[in-house]
Amino acid sequence: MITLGHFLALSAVLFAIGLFGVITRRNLIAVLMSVEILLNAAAIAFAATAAYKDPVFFSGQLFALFIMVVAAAELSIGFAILLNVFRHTGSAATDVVEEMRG
Amino acid sequence: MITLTIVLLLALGGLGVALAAPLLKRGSGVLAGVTMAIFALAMILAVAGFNERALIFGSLEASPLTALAVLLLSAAGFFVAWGNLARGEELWGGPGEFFAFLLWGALGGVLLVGSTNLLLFFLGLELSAYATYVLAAYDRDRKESAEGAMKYLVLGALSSAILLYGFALVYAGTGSMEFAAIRAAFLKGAPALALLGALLALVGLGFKLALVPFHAWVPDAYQGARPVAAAYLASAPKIAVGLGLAALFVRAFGPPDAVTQSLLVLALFSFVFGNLWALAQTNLKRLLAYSTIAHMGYLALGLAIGGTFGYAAAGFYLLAYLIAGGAAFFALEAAEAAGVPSTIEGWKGLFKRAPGLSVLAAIAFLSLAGVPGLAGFLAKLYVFAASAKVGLFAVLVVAVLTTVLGYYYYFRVLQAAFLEAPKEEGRLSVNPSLLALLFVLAGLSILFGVWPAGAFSGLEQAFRVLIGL
Amino acid sequence: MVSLLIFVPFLAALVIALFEEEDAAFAKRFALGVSGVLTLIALGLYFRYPGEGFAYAEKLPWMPFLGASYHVALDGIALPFVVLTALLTVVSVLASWRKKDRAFFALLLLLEGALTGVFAALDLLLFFVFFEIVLVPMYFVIAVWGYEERRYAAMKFLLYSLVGSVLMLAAILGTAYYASAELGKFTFDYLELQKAVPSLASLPVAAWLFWGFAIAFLIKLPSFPVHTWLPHAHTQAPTAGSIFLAGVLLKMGGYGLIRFNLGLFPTEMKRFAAVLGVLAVISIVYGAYVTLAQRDLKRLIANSSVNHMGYVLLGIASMTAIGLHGAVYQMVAHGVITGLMFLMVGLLSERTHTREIGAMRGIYASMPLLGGIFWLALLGGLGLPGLAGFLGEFQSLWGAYLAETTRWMVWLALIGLLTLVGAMLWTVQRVLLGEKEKDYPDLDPIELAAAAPLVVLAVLLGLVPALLTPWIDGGIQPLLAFIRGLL
Repeated sequence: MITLGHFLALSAVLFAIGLFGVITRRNLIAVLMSVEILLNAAAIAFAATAAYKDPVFFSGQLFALFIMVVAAAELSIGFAILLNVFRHTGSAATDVVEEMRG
Repeated sequence: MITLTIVLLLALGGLGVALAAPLLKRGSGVLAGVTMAIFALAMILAVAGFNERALIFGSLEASPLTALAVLLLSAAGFFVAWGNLARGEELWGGPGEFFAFLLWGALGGVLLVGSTNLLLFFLGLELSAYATYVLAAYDRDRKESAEGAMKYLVLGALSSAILLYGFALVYAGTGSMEFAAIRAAFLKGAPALALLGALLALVGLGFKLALVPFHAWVPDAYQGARPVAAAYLASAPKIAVGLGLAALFVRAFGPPDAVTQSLLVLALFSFVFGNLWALAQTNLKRLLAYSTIAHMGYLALGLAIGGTFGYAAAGFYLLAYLIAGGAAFFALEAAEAAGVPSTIEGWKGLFKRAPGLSVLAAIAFLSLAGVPGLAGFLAKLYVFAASAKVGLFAVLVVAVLTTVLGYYYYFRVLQAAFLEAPKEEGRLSVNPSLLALLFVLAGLSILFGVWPAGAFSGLEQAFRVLIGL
Repeated sequence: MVSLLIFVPFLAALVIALFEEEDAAFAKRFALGVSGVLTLIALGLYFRYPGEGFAYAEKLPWMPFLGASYHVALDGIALPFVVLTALLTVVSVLASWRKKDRAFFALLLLLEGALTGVFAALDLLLFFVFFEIVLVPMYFVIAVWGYEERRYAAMKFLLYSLVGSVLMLAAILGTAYYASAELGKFTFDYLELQKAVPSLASLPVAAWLFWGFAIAFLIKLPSFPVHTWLPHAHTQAPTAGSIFLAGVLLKMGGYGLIRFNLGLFPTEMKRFAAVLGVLAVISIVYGAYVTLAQRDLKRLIANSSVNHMGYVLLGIASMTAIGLHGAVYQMVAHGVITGLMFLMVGLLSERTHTREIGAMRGIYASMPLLGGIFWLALLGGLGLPGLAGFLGEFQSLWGAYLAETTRWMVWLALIGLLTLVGAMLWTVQRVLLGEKEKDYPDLDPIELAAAAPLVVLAVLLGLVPALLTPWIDGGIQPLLAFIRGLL
């Protein structure tokens, strides 16, 4: 019997993976991908909860659709800025972003 | 009805500005003017519809709080658009998107504050955040701009994701996205999953508010962005998230003690460490960044205390900070445009070279420090009084002592500007429209510093309605 | 009326700021005129005082949502200080007649308005606001027009005072909070808070509230051990700045201790009287010894203030009628005499281009007027009977002797007194007496005009105490009656 708990556990694992990725990955593209994973982790949680606990309105599944839109928009801005960073520094490594220290 | 009009105004206005941009010649101030007009109209509509109560499309609540959000966000957008009037022609790729995102950012904030469910709150938050990412990155030709914006975006996206996951847990714990239903569930006894979700949401919002320990993006983002953009970064998202947090707490969460106490701890760390770190800064943008962290700490203190007076005090703090913090960044912009670097060294002797600018900047800094007679003092006073009213005296004593630190580093800037001799001689020509903007902001600091009653009762009213439901 | 005294200087400062001119010709005359008129008004208020309690009250709503109102009034304790503030503004403007920056005169006017507000405020938040406002113009006066180490001195002054102020703010908010339980509402009005004093006294937190106020006022007074800002600030400030600092700013401390610590926390005052008394005695003795050791004339006078203010604290700590009377008398007298001392030192060092005592000799011989007045001031400083300084010190000591807790401190204080007498006389000998070394120009009419009112007052207040005593009594009698009812 697969319960909501399983989905939430999956979601939590994905969240952890994503979080780990944002913090430790050294390539900015990978960092943005990790953000995507984070958002999708939440989306899974929303969709699953809707299926198990909100049969009438399915609001969670609606939210999951919106999350996809949001993720797309956010990452497009992110990549645009990343392009600009690349244009200036020639690399997509995270240490270029650490350069500014006051 | 009025609120709906405002929403449409901001949305379509932004679209119109973005589409019209390529048709106008580079450097024309028309777009800035149109944006300012739209914001002004929004403010007028907000005042007219202040007491409107309605539910728009089942998701957006028209209430005094929403009107308040429109007022403050439009004011912020108005001033930033004005500040940009001066250097519009230098914006690469046309200013259309800049102003469009100003409008849409305000829209996002309004949706966020007026939302009645998790979805609209999140969408509003994201929209407001995108505006800030774009504006932070807008200075394409400067490396620091790209780097600061990248850092800002990564951490901003991370915080949105954490908040979103928190919302997912709240949804899982309570079974509903509607604030009313969630609140009912919390009042009955917060389910553990939902409580965890609420705390995660607080973490996500803490990032946006630049509370310690989620503040790391602030100094780099502010240093990298053009001062005008930094002015926007410092004001609009804070307004949106500050008011949004109050709305979320009251409408959705309760809030339970664990959440308010966590916020209190974040506030404490922020105004202690923010002020301490600011002491070491010589780069003025970083100094303002760290002091922003401290100011957000005082703001969060008001939010944590809650109640009509606590929220109203927090709202007044947002107002005072919008005026004075914005003015400080605009002063940096004006100085940079005239060739003065934004460091304490660079500002030496500024009074001799640009007396008007120095005095107006001084008023902004004094308000941020909390000198009586200016809005910043009353803002701190109200937050401190709120602490006293609920008996939080240990926090109060720490908070008042940290203001002394603020005096020190703000006065150090004034010392450089007024007492030292300038490196180069000769009067500077300061952009007149920026000077006019600074003059208006200085006047507002003094106005609200001497006559706060009108603003404060409006704030109290908004929050009384919020809590009264 | 009182509001006139507070806000006209602010408006006048604004006028000066907006009136563009190269040298300060208009500014100084305008400042002189305004402060002169205000002095006359203040004197008018002084002589029409009904004799007891608070008079000239004005109350307007300010921040009703917070319980703060614009409530000002003057009683016999506050009136002399208001007159002193106005008079010292005139003196300072005259003393700075050769300055060419109109900003300087604007700042002096700002100081006048804010200081008057401090003494007149009967609402705790209003008091705090004026207390804080005083700091900013004073900072700029020292930092811009001061001497070699002015920036350090100004910043030290600012931060020291601020720490005290913010602790006082916490205490003010706490007082309102705890009183609201008794009064049923949150208010900062002094007269209303006095009704809650009995219930406040029974709370364990009362001690914290007491010290929150006390620390701020002890810093201002200044008392040992928080006095270290004073020698720097006084020495590095320009003449007019020193006159204001010594003449009026220090009095905010003593005034505050009487008005707020004694008026709102009498039980705590009694409890800690011994502690305050000990601090007072240390200030008196230590202050006197440090004065003796000084080589910089201005610093010498600055340190003598620590000694003089020690008597004020001692008189307050005695909690007797005569002790309190002496404390207030000493404050007024000190304002006049030390103001005069700093004025003379300023004029002297402008001529000799030094503040070193070793470098000055035979001043009386070369400048009889300046030397003579300075001599008089120094005699007043050591407390010579017949001059204003004696009565305050004597009454404070007598009051301290009458009270059980402070009796033993009087003997120690006498050591300090004798030491200071010695220091002052030695200064007279070193600086004023002897063969003249150089010819310096004596006082010109403007400088004489600046000194004259202070000289007159120094003598009058020494010979005719009836000019001050009834007013002080009118202020402290109701206070003492209130306290006696409680203790």
